[in-house]
Amino acid sequence: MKNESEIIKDVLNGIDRFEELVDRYHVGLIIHCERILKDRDEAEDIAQEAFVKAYFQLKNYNSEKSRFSTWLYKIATNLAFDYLRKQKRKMDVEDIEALAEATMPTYLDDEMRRTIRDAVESLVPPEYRRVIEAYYWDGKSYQEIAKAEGIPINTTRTWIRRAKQQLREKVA
Amino acid sequence: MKHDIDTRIIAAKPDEHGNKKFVAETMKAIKKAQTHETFEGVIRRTNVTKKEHLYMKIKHLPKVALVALVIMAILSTGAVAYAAYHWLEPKITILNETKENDDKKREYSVNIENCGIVVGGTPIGNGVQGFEVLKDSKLTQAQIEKVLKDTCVYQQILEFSQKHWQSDTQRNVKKGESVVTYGNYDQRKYDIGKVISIDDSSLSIETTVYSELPDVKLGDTITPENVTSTFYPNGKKVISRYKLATSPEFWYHDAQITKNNIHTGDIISVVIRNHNMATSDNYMTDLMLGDTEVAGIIKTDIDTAYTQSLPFVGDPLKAGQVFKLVGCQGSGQYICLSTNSPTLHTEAIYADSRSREDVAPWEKIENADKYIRKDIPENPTGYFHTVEGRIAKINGNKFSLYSRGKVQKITVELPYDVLAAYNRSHTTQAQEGSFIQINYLQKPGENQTKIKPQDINRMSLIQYQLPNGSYVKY
Repeated sequence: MKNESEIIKDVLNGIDRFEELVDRYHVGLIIHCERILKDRDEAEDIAQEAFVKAYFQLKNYNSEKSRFSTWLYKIATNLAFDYLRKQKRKMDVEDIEALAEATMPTYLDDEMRRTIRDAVESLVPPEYRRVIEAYYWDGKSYQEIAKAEGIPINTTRTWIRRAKQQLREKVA
Repeated sequence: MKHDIDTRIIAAKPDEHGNKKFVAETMKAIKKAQTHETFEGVIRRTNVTKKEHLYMKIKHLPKVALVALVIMAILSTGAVAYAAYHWLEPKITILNETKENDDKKREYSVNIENCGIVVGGTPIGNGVQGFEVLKDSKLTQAQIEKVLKDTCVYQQILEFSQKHWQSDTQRNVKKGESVVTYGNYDQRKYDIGKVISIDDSSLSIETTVYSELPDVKLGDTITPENVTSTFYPNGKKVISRYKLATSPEFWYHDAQITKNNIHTGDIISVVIRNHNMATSDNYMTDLMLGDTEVAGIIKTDIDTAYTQSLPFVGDPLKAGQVFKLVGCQGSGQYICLSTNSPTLHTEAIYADSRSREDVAPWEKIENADKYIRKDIPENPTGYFHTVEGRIAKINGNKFSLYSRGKVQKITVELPYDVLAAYNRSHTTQAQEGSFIQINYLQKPGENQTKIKPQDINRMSLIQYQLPNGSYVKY
């Protein structure tokens, strides 16, 4: 795993490496926003806005106080909350409670990363692997996956849920 | 620490994976923002059909036109500042009461005079208006008049405040080690409460809140505890302490008063200014290191919200019981419910919040995207109308609904049994009696009481949600 603090330091010194952070966090951040907003398009808007804001506020980020991912998710969470407030939309408390730890990429050592990837690779039927890769790695929406697989959205959800259950058992 | 499987899958993402388009667009937005004074205009916006905000309308204007618009706005708002403002006592008269409408609820026709017009809000409006009261409401006519009057008073105050305390000009402010340039957008916030104390530099007011979100700030750690909103069914007294500006202004009706005229126990409206970077979106503000100060204090005659003189005021389950009846969007002959019920607590509670759940996944229609029909052109022949009403009868792929106010029965034809398909996968059921909102294309000369499948753009179940998460029962 690339050293995150070095990337941040480089960005602050004018070296164009912010894309590496976007690449690392965007999938989880979009899902995180989607769980708050219940809308994929709006989630991508807010996630992008969070990255842009993080870029311009990066000089204010204090690595001693929090991880970059925590800080980034906080920005996105605030933006999403404000967006909901502005629209007078209600938040789903259950989902908000789950959001903090559910999508923020955690540090995995090489062995664990390999274990997870192998587990994904060995999912059966192979459609399960495809939907997991598409959703969690390629940042595709349920809608996009459903279209690509030629299945209803609800089937997509079911496949992902079942695939996750298999993964839990494989990497437990 | 044991992490959820989602976390681990995401963390295991191989470098070659990712939403490359999103990453590219984000980097493009950042680069574009570097050359703009603000980055608001460069953020991607969803491509689904949405109500166009003023900002979206003007953002495509040429720069010269934009500058001219800003100058015109400054000149015009300057001209209509306080000089154009005269306090007029709102007058509310209930003309008649319908004993029971189609939904077994009381409906009132009310004449309203001198109600303030709030920019960007949904004012009650002046003239004869219709209101509906929930069927279990115990409100008397006098109480309904009182709540409408207080709402109008508050709207007058807001109208005055919006005109009087105008946008700030760009300035530099030192924040810690850095100097931050704030744009000319001034985010104002209005708070209303009972004076607890006031001195030369600070003001404390007591407000009643019915729900609150935690004040999550940059650098805080996100935990479920600090992101969960809390509801207070009986209200919760909160003391808010504000810093006063160097020379705050004090007003009562249309006269300027002094600080000495403000006493402990007075109900005041507070104009709080938050200087931000130039942006047109409120939700951009909290991370922008804005400094907040009270620029104006307006003494009010409002007492209901705080003296608990009305039975529903302290009870958010009842606070949303008065609804305004308005013409449906683009279909004025039908009556819809206003999303903003007249309540003084619209900023504090979600009593008027509306839950929308899209009913029609147009999976069987080519080019349909999510719940929005993309095969319907943006500029079709005809107009998009919205009608909302109660489902009267369902018959396979057809159903009928009554628009509000017993105006008309509308027949809706669907491409297949959409409601049954929806019901199979949702807890909330679309059934007879449910409220449904339909956005549809109506071509000139077409029968307005029959909506055809090819003209339906969006169809959603509507529920009015109360602060405790339950729904208004009709």
